[in-house]
Amino acid sequence: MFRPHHDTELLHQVESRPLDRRSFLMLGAAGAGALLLLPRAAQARERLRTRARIVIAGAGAAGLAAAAQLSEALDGAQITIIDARREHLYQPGFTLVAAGIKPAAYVSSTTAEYLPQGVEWLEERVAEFDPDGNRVVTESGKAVGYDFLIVATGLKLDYDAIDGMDTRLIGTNGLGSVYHSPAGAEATWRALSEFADRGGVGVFLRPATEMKCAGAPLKYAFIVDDHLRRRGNRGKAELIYNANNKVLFSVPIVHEKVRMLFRERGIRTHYDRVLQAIDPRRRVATFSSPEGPLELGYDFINVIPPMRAPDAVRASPLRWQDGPWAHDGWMEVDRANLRHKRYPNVFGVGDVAGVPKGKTAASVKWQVPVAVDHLLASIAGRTSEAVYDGYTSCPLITRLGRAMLVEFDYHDNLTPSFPGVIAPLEELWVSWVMKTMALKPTYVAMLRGRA
Amino acid sequence: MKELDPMILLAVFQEMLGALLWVLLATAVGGIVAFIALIVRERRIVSRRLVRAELAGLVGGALSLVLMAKVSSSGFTDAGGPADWFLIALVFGAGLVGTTIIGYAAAGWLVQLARGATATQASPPVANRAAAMPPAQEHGNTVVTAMARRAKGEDRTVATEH
Repeated sequence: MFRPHHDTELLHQVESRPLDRRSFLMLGAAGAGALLLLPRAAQARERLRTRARIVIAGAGAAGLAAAAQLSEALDGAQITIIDARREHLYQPGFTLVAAGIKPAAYVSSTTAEYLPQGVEWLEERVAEFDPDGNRVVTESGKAVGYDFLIVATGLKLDYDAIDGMDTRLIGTNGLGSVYHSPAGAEATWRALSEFADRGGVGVFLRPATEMKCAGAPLKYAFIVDDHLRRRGNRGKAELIYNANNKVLFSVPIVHEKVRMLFRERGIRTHYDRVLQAIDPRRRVATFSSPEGPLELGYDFINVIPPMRAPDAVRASPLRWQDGPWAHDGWMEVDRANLRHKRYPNVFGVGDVAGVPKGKTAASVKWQVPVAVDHLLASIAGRTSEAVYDGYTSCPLITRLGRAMLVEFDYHDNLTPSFPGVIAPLEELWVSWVMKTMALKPTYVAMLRGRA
Repeated sequence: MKELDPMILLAVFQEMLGALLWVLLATAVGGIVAFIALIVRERRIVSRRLVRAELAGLVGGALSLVLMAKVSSSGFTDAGGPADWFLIALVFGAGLVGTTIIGYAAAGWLVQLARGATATQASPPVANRAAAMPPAQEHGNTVVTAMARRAKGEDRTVATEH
């Protein structure tokens, strides 16, 4: 309730103070200045003087974030980033492009705009890693020596491993593939839109390898379901999700939630089915199963290829020598600090790291500071206590306008950022808002070393 | 998203809005300063103006929700839980309070400027006298202000309502 006489008293008090307009404005300006200066002063740390040569292989999310943090922390270091690609891809946005929410331009920018000052960019691909000789060799044959190496090459989408797959046909004849490229994601949206108008059989799947953002195949099944419903054609469509193993998601509690949602939305689920071959003209996909090969006709399919370490990493001594990540050549790093297990001056961050769980931008955001701190500690001759616990996050879209903000760690624990406010297994608009509005700015801030 | 650091928030909003962030912050700070300065100058809340500003605030709140729906490619009908209703209330509330404060301050300062102009035009002799005798100017302005207020029907202030 408004109490006017109190306000009058307050105003008299304000009036009685020696606060004229000028000092009032100065006070305001000082307050604003303090707000801007204080955290910056607190954040600024002394730069470490060194002449170390640091090579970063790959200028994707992990490579650029590492470059930004190292150039901020070091004075006098020679930092070289090696990547042939000039286009930078905001990969978490591919699903939104393929959902018809954003244009292809939303996910495409340039490497140059994020490159920190003082970092040299070699526009070539690394052809060979030689950790015993502390050097990498580029495609043109140029050898670049290093004291420390950060491998952030990302991964290889192995479309060739699917017999009959032709990426040039994406967008035609019901063939979609969200992961392929910005243009591929947009072409997939066109194929989805046609399917949502007509109905038929929609097929969704994931590969039997490690993959980036394991939630994306699930999201896309939900998105297709929602588009069909919005156009009143859900009754004309049959949606099938073929999981590669016995679960829909590696975190058991999330698997259960998605299983229930698929049941509720009428998305039929099969387990232990892996895409082996596809005939895009006949619209037939062949899956392996415990019962033998199965042919499945489709009107729309979202092909997700097997994913492996890039050839140069797979062919190098940096790969796991045995265990679950050896086959596809992921880097043998310590899961807690991303340092190579056999070459202590080498780190592997981002998709190429052979660690359990997420290959996502969120993983990158929490891996890079840990790896960088350990690298800095090596230069300074100290030890680092920084630990990466496997944190990653997946805003799992369950329909247009809602998502579940699933965050977890190496141990399948849910690690919600906003406990009691944003429930991880609840379909919420606020999580969708984060995905569509806050995620890209956070990602770009990370590339610039500001988040 | 594991933790919230004010500098990270600032960086994220800077990436999200670009130069618009500073325009919005300047508008917010300017609006609040103008509002406080107006209250200090008028020494009261003008109830009729406040009610009108609040009505404009309702429109501002609704527009905030429309804007939010547009930039997030969704709508508040997608709300699925308490956190969503909280966000909707927050967005609506920010639009409402912002528009009310800026609307009230803008209307008030327009009246102040009009009064200043009226005072200079209507009574040059008073102004002349005032130049010679500063305390009299204060008195003369108060009289003109009161007259202008009566003419605009604004003298039913909150301060006189109890």
